[in-house]
Amino acid sequence: MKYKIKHSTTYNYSDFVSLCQNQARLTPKTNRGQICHSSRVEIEPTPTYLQTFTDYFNNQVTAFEIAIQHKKLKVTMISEVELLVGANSNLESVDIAWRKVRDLLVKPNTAELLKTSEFVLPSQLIPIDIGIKEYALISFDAHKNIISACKDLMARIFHEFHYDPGFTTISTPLSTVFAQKRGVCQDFAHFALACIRSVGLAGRYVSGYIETMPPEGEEKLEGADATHAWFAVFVPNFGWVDFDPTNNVLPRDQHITLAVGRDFSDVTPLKGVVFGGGSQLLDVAVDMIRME
Amino acid sequence: MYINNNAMPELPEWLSLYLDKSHGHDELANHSGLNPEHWDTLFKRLASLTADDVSSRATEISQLLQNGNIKNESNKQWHFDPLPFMLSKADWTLLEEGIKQRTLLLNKIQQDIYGDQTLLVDGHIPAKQLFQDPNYLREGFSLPSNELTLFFTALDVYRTPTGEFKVLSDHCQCPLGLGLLIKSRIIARRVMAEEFAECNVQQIKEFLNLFQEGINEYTHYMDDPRIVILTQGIDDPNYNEHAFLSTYFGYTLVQSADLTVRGGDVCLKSLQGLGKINVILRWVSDRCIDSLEQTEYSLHGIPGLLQSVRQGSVKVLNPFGSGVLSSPSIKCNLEKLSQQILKQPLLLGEPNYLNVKEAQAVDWNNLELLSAIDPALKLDGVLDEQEIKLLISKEPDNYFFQEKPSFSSAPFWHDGQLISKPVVFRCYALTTENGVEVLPSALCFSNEKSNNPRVSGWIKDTWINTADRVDLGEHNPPVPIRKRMDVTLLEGVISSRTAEHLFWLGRYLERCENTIRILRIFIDKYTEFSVYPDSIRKSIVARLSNAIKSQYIVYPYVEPDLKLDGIDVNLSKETAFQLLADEQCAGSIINTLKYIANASVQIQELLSHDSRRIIDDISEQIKIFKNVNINIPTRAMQSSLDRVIGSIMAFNGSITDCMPNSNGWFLLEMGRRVERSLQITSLSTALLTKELDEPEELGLLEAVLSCQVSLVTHKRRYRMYQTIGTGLELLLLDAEYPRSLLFQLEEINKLCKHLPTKRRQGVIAAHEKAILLSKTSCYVTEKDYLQKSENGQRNQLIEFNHNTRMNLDTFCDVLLLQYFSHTQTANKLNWTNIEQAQS
Repeated sequence: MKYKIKHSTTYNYSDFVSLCQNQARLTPKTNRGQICHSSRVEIEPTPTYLQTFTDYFNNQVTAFEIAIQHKKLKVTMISEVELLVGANSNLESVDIAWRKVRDLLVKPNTAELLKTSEFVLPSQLIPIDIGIKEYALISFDAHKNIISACKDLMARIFHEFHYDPGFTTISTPLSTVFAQKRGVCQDFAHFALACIRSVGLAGRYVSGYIETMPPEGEEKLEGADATHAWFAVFVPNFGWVDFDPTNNVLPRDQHITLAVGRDFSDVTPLKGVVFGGGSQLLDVAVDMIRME
Repeated sequence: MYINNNAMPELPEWLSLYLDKSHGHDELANHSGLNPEHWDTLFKRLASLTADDVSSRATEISQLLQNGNIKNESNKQWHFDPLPFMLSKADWTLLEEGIKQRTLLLNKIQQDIYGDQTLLVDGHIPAKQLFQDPNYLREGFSLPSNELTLFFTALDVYRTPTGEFKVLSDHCQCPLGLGLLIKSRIIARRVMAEEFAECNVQQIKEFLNLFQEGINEYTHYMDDPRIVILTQGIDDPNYNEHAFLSTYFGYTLVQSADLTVRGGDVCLKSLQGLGKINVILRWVSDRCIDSLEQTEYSLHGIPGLLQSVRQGSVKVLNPFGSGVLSSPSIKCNLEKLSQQILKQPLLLGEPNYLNVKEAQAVDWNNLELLSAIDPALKLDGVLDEQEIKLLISKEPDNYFFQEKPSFSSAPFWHDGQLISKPVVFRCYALTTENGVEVLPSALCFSNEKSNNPRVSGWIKDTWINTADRVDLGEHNPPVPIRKRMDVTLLEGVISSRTAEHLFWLGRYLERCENTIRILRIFIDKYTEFSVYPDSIRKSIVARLSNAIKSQYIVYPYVEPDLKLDGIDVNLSKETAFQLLADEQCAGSIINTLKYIANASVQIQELLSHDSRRIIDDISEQIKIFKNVNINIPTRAMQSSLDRVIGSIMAFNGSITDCMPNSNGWFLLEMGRRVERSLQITSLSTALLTKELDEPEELGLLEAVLSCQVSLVTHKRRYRMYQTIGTGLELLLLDAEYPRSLLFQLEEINKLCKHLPTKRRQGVIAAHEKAILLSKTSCYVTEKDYLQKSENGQRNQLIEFNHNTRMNLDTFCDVLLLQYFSHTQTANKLNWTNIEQAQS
């Protein structure tokens, strides 16, 4: 399956901005599940400086600067990504108990395990407490297979948590999400990761896109697709396996990965510091078009 | 035990008294070795001194410290001891080797952590703890690998009861105290010059040269390298030290707001525009140095800095990420790491560590708990027992115990005798291309809370004998000619923030002088009136009092509306007091002095030692003014005015010599001239526009002329016939007279030539236009025109002054906008919230 993605972010300022410094993590990854064939960024006004580099978590970062006065900033990323649908096909053959994986991560003795072991630890937006662990352990009983345990956790979050776009913001603490059992994809991913890590497994945050289907008989609206977030769990001799608790599915042919990290703060799609500008209005539009 | 050998004269009583006391374990009494040559030489010199002699040295030192404005973090004065600390050659050799070894080791660890991480994979450093350390900075991994070498580091060493040295802490980010060490050495050499020579003390100069050469290494291929010292600013408790180092090494002192990133280069916002920076000596933590890339958003960060480092455009020293080397998870494994990496034991040991399990078996009396992930945590084994138990029951892996260090003591002079205090030595090292260099001295300091490794309180200079170092001169490598040229090019780079402070300092100094003169004349007039209470004197006092109270003639120079009546008399004393010491009154002398002191701190690094001493005097005076009340006798007011004006004059004198225009000092002069112009116009508007009887009018003119120090000139020039008109001619229109308004405008115009301009020749900049307008109107106006009155009021004079005022305001606004505007604050872009796209 091949997609063309157009993701534009527009900031309108009430006052002139004299200088802005930005970093964007908007280039889709190439990994086991997908190939990024091309990607280009269009920025208005034209940046006075632009460079890319690869960060600690292997995401590609576009650093740019605009040193001319402007009242509007528009960043558009256009990329073509091919999803490798067969990537998870032998997932059924994975037969490893979650406890074994946990024990493996306690003393990481290879470079790969070492890097992975970092995703067992709490992070800035994902603190772990005993309540979360108790919640998690219901899914993780003693000898369970790691995949089925994670599926169980995903399904419980899907059924027990209420999708409520107005309820949370980026600064809502995880404990509120847990107590109220409300939130959006980002909160569900964070909460799931807290559960995964509380039992000693490695879990990472995935930011990306999901294709949306128009209601039966209707035309698909432009800009209607969405940026999305889910989580992935490390499985030895296999790799990272994605789970989408918002939709209760294992991402297959509709999820495209942008960046990974410990939590949202590692993968912020676009961040910046502006000088001047007054108040700001943000508008985001995503289009995912099937190419074949 | 210190043994007084036979070659020595008898020890003075103050010293033998100390030696006879019982000590825990003392550097002099217990650790001086079998053959304490190093102390002998010193004592031979000191033997002839009485306790009073030593006390007088101590007093001299404390005066020198006060004059140097040397304060510690809590803004208290340091106690700098008149007795230096002597280290034996054997001790020093051991320390020097140990410091070299440790610095080398830390360098290798830094390379590994931000590189292959084999030490973590092999378990020599516990990965779980390190990954949670707030100083483990993931941004460091995308930086070039040559950005990992340490530059200037420090470590705190103490001596155990058995005589070995152990390391209390490492400082690999921003090692504090070097400035203090240099200052204390300067003072020691002054107060103890003879002892210093006699003891053959090793010089620190060579190390400091290497320090500068080390920085030059990074810039030797450049024509005009810019090196800056980055400080958080005057709120940083160590700001004084940063300013001192800036002056000492000649590097520009900057705050993060002075820097901006453009096109991947870090630039200094200077009067001349943006100038690329090549090296940043940071005295700001690397956890919040880039407010764009790092998650810990900080006002002290420079957005985009790390991207500049990444592409090799700027060098940051110490390198980004070096704070991790102070992490407890490294320190408590250092012994093992040394074996692993260097294949040798640590020469300078670590305190004894126990893990939680080991500690269960022993008594906690002598232990304290540390956290492997929180460098700030330290709990006492006895006092905090309950808390410790709670913590270790949850996460035993994240904690460990350390044996409480037992510091050796050293003698300090206090109240006419020697007392003993626990001491720690802070030693400094430099990593160069040719290996590690160690500063041949140390900051020996003592702290009442002996477990706190921060430098504070009592300090000593540390002397190391140089006996067998004869080849000193040959250590200096020849300096290539290119480098010397570079040094001259460094001059004159100041930030626009500093430029602005210079401008304001000029204005405040002039304001202070003027306000004092007004107050003096006012006091003079009302005391005279109380002796000779006639109606003319009464009117003059009343008008002066009103002009002061309504702030017509003092800052903020309110422009009176056209009706100048409604004068209330008396309460003169109260008015005078308010102008002197009322902090509610914007233009009072106490407030103006505060502004002067504050602006001086901001440009501290440009001031000479003598100028800084005067600022100290001014700060003292502010304190005194804060405590006076309305009951202060007029006499006392007058004498304190004399003192303040003495300080202001001395300050003006002390800065006259150091005013090269390239350093922006012309702005100070410009500020003065602007303020003086405002004063002349506001005085003449407030006091000379009302037509009155001649004696009353001339009385007021006399007061105005006195305020402007022009009375004598006026009398001489217009011997036959003096009117308001002649006064106005002298004060406003005379281009040759140095105190006239026109003269000030001409000077401002000349000073504008120093401001960089981007305009092509033949086009005048906006600020110059404003000055030109006023100048022209001075040239074309006649005194009779100004003197002329309608219905008892000189409306033409009022209008003339008003226009001048408008033009000066325009001038200042343009200056602010074009040259000083740097204060725009950074805002964080709202992060793209994922949900805003969700349908």
